[in-house]
Amino acid sequence: MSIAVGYDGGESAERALAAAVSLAKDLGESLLVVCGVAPPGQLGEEYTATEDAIVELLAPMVSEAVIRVQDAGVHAEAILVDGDAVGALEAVMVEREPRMLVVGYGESGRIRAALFGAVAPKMVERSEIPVLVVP
Amino acid sequence: MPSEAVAQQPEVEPGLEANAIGFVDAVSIGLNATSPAYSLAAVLGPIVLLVGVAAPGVLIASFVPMLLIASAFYFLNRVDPDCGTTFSWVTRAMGPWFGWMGGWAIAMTGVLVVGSLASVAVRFLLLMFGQRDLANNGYLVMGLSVALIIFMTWICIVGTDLSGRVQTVLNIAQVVAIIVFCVVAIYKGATGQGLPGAESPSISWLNPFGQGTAALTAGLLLGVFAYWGWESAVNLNEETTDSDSTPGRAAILSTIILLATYVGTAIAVLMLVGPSFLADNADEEEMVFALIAQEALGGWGWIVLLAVAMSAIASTQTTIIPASRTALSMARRRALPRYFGQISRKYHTPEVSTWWVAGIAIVWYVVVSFISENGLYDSLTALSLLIAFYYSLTGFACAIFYRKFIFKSVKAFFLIGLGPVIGAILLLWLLILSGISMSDPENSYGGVSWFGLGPPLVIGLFLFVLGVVFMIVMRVANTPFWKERPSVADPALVPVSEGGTEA
Repeated sequence: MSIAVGYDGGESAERALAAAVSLAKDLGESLLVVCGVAPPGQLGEEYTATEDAIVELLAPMVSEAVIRVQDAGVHAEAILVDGDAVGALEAVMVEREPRMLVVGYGESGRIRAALFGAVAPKMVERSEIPVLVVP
Repeated sequence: MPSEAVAQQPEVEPGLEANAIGFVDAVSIGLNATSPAYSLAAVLGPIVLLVGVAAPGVLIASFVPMLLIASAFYFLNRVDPDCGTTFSWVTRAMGPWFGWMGGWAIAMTGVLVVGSLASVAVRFLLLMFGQRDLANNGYLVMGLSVALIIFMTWICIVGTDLSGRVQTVLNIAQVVAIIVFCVVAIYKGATGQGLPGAESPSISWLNPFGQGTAALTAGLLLGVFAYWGWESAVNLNEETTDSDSTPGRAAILSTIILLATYVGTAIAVLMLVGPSFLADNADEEEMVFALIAQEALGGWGWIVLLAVAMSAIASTQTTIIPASRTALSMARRRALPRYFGQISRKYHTPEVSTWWVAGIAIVWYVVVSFISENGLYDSLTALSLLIAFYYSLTGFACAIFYRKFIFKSVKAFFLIGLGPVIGAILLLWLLILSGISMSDPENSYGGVSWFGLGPPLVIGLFLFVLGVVFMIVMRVANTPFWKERPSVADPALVPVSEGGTEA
């Protein structure tokens, strides 16, 4: 079994990662550091070029995070998914069957959350396993 | 640490694909990319004004090159399925010079149309609430339009869009509103409730060649604009749930819907109000469609106004995103400075290029509104010139990229070789004829002349020359992009039936 944590290099993701690391240590679990890399917005022109740019930006941050987790003594694995943040966690949930998810609450602002919704509430709604939301 | 090597090079796991889309969504995206309600509002008035009762025929005729070019998009997408478009394909087929101009044309089309989209959205929303005076207040509309562009740009940068389902519902509602309008208008026209200038339907309406060449080419060019974006419907490759048949069937259905609504609306307008009404209200530009909608539906006219406004708002997003991504893609291949390729750390969107697209769009919109009396029409016609240019390039690129295969099977010859080339030649011919006719200001909307030429031609030439200048600057900077060399389609990606080796 493992614990999946949503990670995108942002501040709230760091807090989620920290919580996930201490949890994984206590439970003796390994961590899946999950990052969605699909460009937001629709498909269409130059979609892949955009995704490549996102991967170039995020991959080093994710692998750096994984190294930090391993330095803390927890086995960790990076998973980049061709999907948005929610889609990435859902895909990992199906493919890797982690025992729980850890997500940050985000600091994207109330207007944005009201317009589009935030990742954490969506995850709580869609997940079939426990979700730890880290404020 | 045994897994460190893995950790240092995380890869996108090929098996993990979130957000695949189904048939209805694929149809919806095909419709969304053309925004039928907005397109009709923007171009139907001018087309009827130009060619009169030949409008239905012109709308059918301008679809022909579109269909042939879409075939090019389909086949290029298959061998280079990275959802790249003209920029990357033309570069691969014809080398960096042509590729650069294609990419430039795409980015500029996005820039040119955004102001028109925003002002149509603002005007139709104001009209919907019965604020006719406010909708005619140029400065108010301009201010609100700029605010709308900034807001929609922010949405593009924040990067989340409405869920696929909401978009699908909006797109279908848009088409339903148009169909309701058509049915009511045709019924009223047929039962003698039309305006005095209304016409009786005739099969000759389907003949586009009833008018002079200048009117016809201008009409066809606007027709190309009306179908612009339609190729996206065939561009959804492996992202659909059943990639072998879904995109094809979705493309066919969205095409039938598009053709039917365009031609149907043209017929409905002719039967309800007739060309004379449009001639009398020519200075209303896109607002004339609102007048016609209210004529047809009376108190229910707001349905059509809302559909047009929603369609225009949704389109700002589907226009800004591709334009900024094309700029990003050009920057990543060093065809533009790297600066334009930056991705927002927080939102994972091409922040820099998006703001640039929006900024230029706003400046463009404001400047054209001030210097042109028929800003919308001039911009859209200039835009159609650029669209015809890059579609034409794509058509040629397809045949060139596939040159080793097109003589190996009948299917490949017609669909990959001849079809796209004919489409490209038709568009090139249209481009040249329009250029010649626009060089005489007599033929422009309202007879306005800039430097002795029609304003759309001046705008089109200005943007083209600007592109050439930037291209030369980038060439002098000698970035790695200019070392890219043309190649041909990889046989392993072409099915055996078309002369390739794919199993």
